[in-house]
Amino acid sequence: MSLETKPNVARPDDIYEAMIAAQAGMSEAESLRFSARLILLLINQIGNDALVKDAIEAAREPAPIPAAGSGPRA
Amino acid sequence: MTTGIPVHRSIGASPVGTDGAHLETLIVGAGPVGLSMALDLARRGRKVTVLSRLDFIAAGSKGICYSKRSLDIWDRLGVGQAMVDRGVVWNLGKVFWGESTTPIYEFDLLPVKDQRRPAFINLQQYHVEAILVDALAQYPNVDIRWGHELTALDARADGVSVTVEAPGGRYTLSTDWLIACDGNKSTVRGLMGLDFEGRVFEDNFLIADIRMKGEHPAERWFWFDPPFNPGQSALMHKQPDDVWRLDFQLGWNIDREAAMRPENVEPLVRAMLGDEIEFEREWYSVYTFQCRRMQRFVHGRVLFAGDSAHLVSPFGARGANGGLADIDNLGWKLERVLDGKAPESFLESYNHEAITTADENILNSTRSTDFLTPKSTASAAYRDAVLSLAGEHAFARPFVNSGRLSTAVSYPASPLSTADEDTDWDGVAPGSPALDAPFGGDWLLGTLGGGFRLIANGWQGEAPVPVIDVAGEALIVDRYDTDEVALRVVARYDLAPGSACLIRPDQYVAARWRQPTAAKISAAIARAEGVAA
Repeated sequence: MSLETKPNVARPDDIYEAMIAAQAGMSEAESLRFSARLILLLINQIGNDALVKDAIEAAREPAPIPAAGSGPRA
Repeated sequence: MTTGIPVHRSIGASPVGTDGAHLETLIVGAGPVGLSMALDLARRGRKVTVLSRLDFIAAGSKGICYSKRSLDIWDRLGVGQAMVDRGVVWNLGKVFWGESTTPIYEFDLLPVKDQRRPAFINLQQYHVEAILVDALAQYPNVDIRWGHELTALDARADGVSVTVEAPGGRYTLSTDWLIACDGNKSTVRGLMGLDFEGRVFEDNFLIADIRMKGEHPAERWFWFDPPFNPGQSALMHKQPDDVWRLDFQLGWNIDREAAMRPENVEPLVRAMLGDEIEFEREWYSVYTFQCRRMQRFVHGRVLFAGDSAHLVSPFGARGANGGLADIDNLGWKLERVLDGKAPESFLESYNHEAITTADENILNSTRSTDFLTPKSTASAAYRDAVLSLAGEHAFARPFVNSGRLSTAVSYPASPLSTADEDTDWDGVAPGSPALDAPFGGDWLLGTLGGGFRLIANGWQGEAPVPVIDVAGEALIVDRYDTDEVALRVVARYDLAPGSACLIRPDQYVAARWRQPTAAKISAAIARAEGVAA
């Protein structure tokens, strides 16, 4: 099995909102801990070391993020 | 001799040696590793000389946890039962977090039962050394020189010359081989200009070994962020004679001398165990640690073993146990070289296998240390996330790392192993340590002894090595229920009828076959003995 990078979520806006809402009002430290708990739960759900390592690699940003306003506009 | 070091057993300085004498093997260092090395070689009938810088066995509990593998090695050396009889047996670890008295994680270190030895014993290092010294006294071919310190060394391609300082004067020796078991501050390593590679950790830990009457069980208890040591870790472990190992993480930038003073230790002990307890000081010490090793353990005629070659944190009991693995690996190989039966290059397999062990110990020790003392904001967040999840969800418990305790290390890429011909094997693979099992009213490891052995399920004809045939065991298994069958040699080694498994003198699997022949076995022995096949 390889890392799924094509759309795989039925309602992206719903799940995105739920994740942001769960961290509303948290300090940076609380949010970091929440995210760590969430990621550990998801890692266990995936249950595949190779896939998780692929995801860790995919999560690295390939190049410096362009400064605001310097990129193309949609 | 006046050193300021507390004395467990006085011995007194040995007389000055004959100047210019020539030895076959000189062991430098008389800790558990050097003394066990001496006992291994003594039992092989070799003449061996040991230099001990001190002329006594030092008090101070120091290394207290000895693993099943170390007990198996000591069984082969004839002192396993003495160690177990003197020690405290334990198999179970518990991890606590914060104020809760319910553990968030428990681990059983001996998941495969029905083996002769437990996962661990706890035993003060001075008791270990005393048992080894007493055992060595039976061997007239062993000369322990107490109070003799190596001070200079000239290592050549064909031997080593050393200068020794003794209370009665200075003398020189030459030796064919020198085994440096002289600890983390190894004089031999320093004189040869060699060093370690790896990481140094800056956290400080306090050992407070105390003597008290207590009713705590013989288990390893570990706390993250307990109320009695907030923001830090702590450990409690039972030793013989009502001695308890307490270990407190202290943090960075502390006054180490002050932290060891009784007036600063005792409030920590009372916070942990209660104001009302009565206890005496056994040994207080503050330590930091490193996870490092030498690049090579074999330097011509100088061989490094134990802490002189590799260092780990104490969480995992991988220091002394790692050193005992070294000497177990080295003894039979050095004997073959001494007898001229294998070339010196055979010792490269010691370098390979001992470094494999050291690297696994360093890897585990480094990971434990990163969990115990997170070095970044993210690392701390994940650690706390694991601890907070572990109480409610079973999945998180195996992530809790309070030290992964020492087990025997496999050598998957060992040059001494013969690869499997068949792919349908379960059981113990070549390069892995033999697994114990009940056998013939005794135990398999005790039956194996210390030479090459073939464990076979039905052997026909001549074999180039003594055969332990388990066919009789196989025939009677249908009289037992399945649990009983599972613990038999046949099941543990996956020995279907006709199969066989070749065991090395250090009780590692060298090769195995579904269709063994005398020729295949001879070739595998030649490979394992360092003779070109």
